[in-house]
Amino acid sequence: MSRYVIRRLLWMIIVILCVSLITFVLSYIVPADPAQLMAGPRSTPEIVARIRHEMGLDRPLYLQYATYVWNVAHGDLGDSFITRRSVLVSILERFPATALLAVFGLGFELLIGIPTGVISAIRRGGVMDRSLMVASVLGVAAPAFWVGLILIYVFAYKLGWFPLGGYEGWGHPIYAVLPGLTIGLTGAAWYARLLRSSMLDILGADFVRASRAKGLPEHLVIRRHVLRNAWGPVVTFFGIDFAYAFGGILIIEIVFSVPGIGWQAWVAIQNNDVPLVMGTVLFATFLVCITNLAVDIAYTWLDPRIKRN
Amino acid sequence: MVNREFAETESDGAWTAEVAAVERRRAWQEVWRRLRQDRFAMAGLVVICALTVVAIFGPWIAPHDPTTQFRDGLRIDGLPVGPSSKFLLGTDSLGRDLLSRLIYGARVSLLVAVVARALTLIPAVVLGLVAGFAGGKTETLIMRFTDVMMAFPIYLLAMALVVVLNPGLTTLVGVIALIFWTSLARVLHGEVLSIKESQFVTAARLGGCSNARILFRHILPHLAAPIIVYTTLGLGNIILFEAAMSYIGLGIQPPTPSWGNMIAVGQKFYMAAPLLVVVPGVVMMATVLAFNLVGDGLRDAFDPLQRRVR
Repeated sequence: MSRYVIRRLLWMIIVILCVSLITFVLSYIVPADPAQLMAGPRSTPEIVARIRHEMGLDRPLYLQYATYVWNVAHGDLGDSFITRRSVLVSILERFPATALLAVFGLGFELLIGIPTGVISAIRRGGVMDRSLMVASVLGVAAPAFWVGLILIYVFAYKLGWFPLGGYEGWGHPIYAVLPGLTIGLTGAAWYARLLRSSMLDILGADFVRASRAKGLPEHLVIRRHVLRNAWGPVVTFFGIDFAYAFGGILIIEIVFSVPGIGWQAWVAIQNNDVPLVMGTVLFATFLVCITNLAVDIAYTWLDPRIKRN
Repeated sequence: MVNREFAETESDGAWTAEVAAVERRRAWQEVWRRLRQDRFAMAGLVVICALTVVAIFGPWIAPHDPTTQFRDGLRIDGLPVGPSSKFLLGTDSLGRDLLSRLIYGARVSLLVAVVARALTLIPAVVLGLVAGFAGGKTETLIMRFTDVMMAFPIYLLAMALVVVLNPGLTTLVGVIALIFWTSLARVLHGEVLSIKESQFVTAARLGGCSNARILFRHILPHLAAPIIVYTTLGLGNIILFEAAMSYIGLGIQPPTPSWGNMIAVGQKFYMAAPLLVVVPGVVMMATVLAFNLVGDGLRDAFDPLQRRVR
């Protein structure tokens, strides 16, 4: 087990190195002149030259990259062009809002997706199954940000049940309900389909027939024998979905004016604040990697039959 | 059915080739026949055909220019006007005809989706095929790289690319091409792994074919099914992605209409005129749904033995 974890950790470091190479190329090589970018439009050539020297842009590229990686490894993601504050601090300040949305979003995905999948599998071919599957097809096809806007109109503006948007800290989770529901409604379909097909596979297995034959009530057959064996693909998918849903949350933050890291990156883009955007990219990648690792470990723990290779 | 025995005993090579061609044609006809029986897929296909016609002939169909701000397009209090005989779906917050913008938006959205999807095929096919066929270090390297790309939250990667490049149609297409090749590459990699063990590959190798020839002449044609299915399914995702990027202002730039930025504009008068947000969204949803239905239908039609559990 520990060997497996070490290998996965090494792999994670490689991924982050690759991503840092991409963000490095994007912040130092692609822009015509990063110093000019940092100095802003109204700057004298002397200032630009000084900044170029301070940023180390006059040094060879591999040295620049080495310094960049060294700084990133120490949690130094640079300073924002606009506020001159540490990027990491700015991100960490905004992160709780994003995390709250992530908890609600992923929570709603599971809360909607899992019962839907189970009911569809049990009532296979019935009216319930068909209508749920139609709903899931629609959920996949709907643009998430648009669903968010519709929810705002109906539940916040017309009915007034929820705030129109914003964020007031973890103490006021009501602000995260509609954004979370948006992620949930558009993402739950994947879980529902996956769980449904994995349950249908298992419902046909011999041990299910055997447990029915010995007279076990159907709900126990489902709970003890079918569900326990059907979790696998759902857990694996959770790892994949996290990266995707996380990206989606950043857009949803913009829809609901939630001041999280996605909103912050979006504002940073409009200000050409390259370090803040790249820092957010690195931070998010790190988070996704950690989650994937945790999911994989949880998976081997949930299902010891899986061989770790 | 074609008489196989006859084809095999026939010594004339040209005749055998002709039989093979007929069989191939039959296989495609068979796929089409099965697809035709799938009501959902056919409904999707009708929607896609209609949209394509609208997109191609947009300038002749659209009642107005999509960027003209009409004097009578806004009410006295500055709000957009509702549906009328002049503006069939009403106007947007700048007094432009909503229907015309929807039609031109279809042009942009479909153009971006089709061009970008076609571009993603290049890395997907090349990397998937090479990884599956080469094996060893090359395979590990390519597939790990694919994993890295998949670990990225895509919207953030796209934001990072757009911040250094400039937002617009070309950037958007490029960004999509860079991001959306991974899942197809993975699928093809898996397919190649099993196909390369087939006897016909061994036969080709014994016949002295180069690796490139085996890959592109013998293996690639067998991948037509997954490529077609995943390309179709991916189109819907790309349309959603383009819309989200345009909505947050990093995709298609105004005044060029795209369904995404139309929603962003419509949002300004959302509470007074919700149609401006609802209509483009519904159109987009129908489009994505159509592509998904056709994609699912194609998957079943190509692979009747491995039907999805219904």
